[in-house]
Amino acid sequence: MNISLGKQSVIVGVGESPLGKTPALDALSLQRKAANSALMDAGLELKDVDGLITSPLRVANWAMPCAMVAQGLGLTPKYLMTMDMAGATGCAMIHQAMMAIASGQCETVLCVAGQNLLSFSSNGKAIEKMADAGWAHPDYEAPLGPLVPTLYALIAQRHMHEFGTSQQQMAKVAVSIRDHAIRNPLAFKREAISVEDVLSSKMVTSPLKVLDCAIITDGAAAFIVTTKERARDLKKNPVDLLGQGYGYSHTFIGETQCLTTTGAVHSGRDAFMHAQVDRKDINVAQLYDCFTITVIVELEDLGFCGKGEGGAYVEEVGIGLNSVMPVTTHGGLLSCAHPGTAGGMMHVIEAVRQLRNEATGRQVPNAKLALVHGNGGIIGLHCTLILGNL
Amino acid sequence: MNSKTTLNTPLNQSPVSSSNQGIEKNFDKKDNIGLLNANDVFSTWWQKVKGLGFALPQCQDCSEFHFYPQSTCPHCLGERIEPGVASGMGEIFSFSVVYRAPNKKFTQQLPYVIGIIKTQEGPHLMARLEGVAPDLFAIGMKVKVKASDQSSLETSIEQNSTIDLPVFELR
Repeated sequence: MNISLGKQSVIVGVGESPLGKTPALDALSLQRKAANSALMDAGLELKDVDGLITSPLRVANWAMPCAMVAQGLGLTPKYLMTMDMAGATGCAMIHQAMMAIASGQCETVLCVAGQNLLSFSSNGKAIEKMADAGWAHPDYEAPLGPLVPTLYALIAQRHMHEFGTSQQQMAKVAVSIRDHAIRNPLAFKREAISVEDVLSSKMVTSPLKVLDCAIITDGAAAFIVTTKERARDLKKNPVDLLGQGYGYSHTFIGETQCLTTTGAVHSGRDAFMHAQVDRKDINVAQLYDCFTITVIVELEDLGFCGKGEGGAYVEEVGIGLNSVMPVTTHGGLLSCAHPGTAGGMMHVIEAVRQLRNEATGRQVPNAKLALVHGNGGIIGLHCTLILGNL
Repeated sequence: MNSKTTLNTPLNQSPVSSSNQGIEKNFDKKDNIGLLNANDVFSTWWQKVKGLGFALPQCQDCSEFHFYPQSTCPHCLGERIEPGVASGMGEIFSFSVVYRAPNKKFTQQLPYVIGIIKTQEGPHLMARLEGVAPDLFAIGMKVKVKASDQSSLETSIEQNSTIDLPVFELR
């Protein structure tokens, strides 16, 4: 990131805890494992960290999450922050960390989040808890009985109506991303699935079926951001943030006049403007995939195809490893892991690994430019990053 | 400064009202009915306008309707917002048939239909769709609000609460 008066910084380490079902680990234990993994990746130690960014849990009502994590890790940072942009948190953390460093407040920031979302109770209880967690308006939507997937189903149904997007096209998203998960040893769901499997999986809230929806898992993720100077003598090639953008369109899905175009239009526009690169130059895109329809809408709003053409893009151009721009190559929220905000951090981690040529089994050849997109709430809140290894 | 006294005063007073009790008290004040103020944003609109038929928040400055209820008009930032009786007509902007209940309270109603209604007055709102088999609804269909005393939801959801929910049916 270039801030004229401040110190420039880069991503130097990424890591995660065990993912999936880890009943023996509570939220802090998971975060500690992720933090250690990212520090080891960077060749740094906890004592080198003087900045901390984390996000709230859903499994516990922590007051001051940044203080809880600082205490849990034994840190007394010079800068600490709790931030919550839901699914866009992971992307925004990178930019916020770099701004903290640019302002001179600290030099090495640990971004870490995660929780035992699955093991804390059960898949069913987690679904119940999320339906009542404020994603639907507490007075005007939640009492009607929508699941979180229902709120996205309203988007999918409208997209199908306006543009002729098909359930097969949505299923193709799930199949491609599962194919990536199969090649990622850390992913939770690794059995191959077909379009037919997705279409015949249990209908949850029409038109979304079980395999159109993100999984729920335990897990934590972490990254380390430090100054370019400090990065010079570290283990691995640093990854640069070339551009970032934020976007907001609405808080609740019932209030928005348009269900099919999102704030990703703005976050994408700004990210490309800052990075000064073209869409065709992006080698790999880690798109937020809470539902299959989300990926289709993001492909459109980020400008990789025209509005309404996302379904056809998935079918004809493709998002798999052999396509021109593979999408969500670690297996994403649909198949790798979704423990809350840490789920969106894993898209950043995967982009870093692709840019460092470390994504064994799923490496995109010569990946020099990666786009990462985080989507919070019901497609209302967005953050896009363009990362490079130039 | 006697910090003990200053701290105790607000605590001993009646509760800062995120409680339901506080909201209901507000409703009982006749002079408060029909006026939205910042506190009322957190109360239930449908409960407030019960008796007016189907009413949406309407700005007295620009006459535009909006939903969800806001303390300032999203069209002109006017602050004089009152319930405006609306036609109750609209069309289905989107919908989903729900096959898995978010919790036990809804299990017996499965499958049920949640829609986004584009009202004739403009605002969108989330509502239940009732009256025909779930698979008969489609985007673009004309709907009208069902009078709240006909709603099967009123007794089946939130049995012990006064929340009314908008229900629409085909017209």
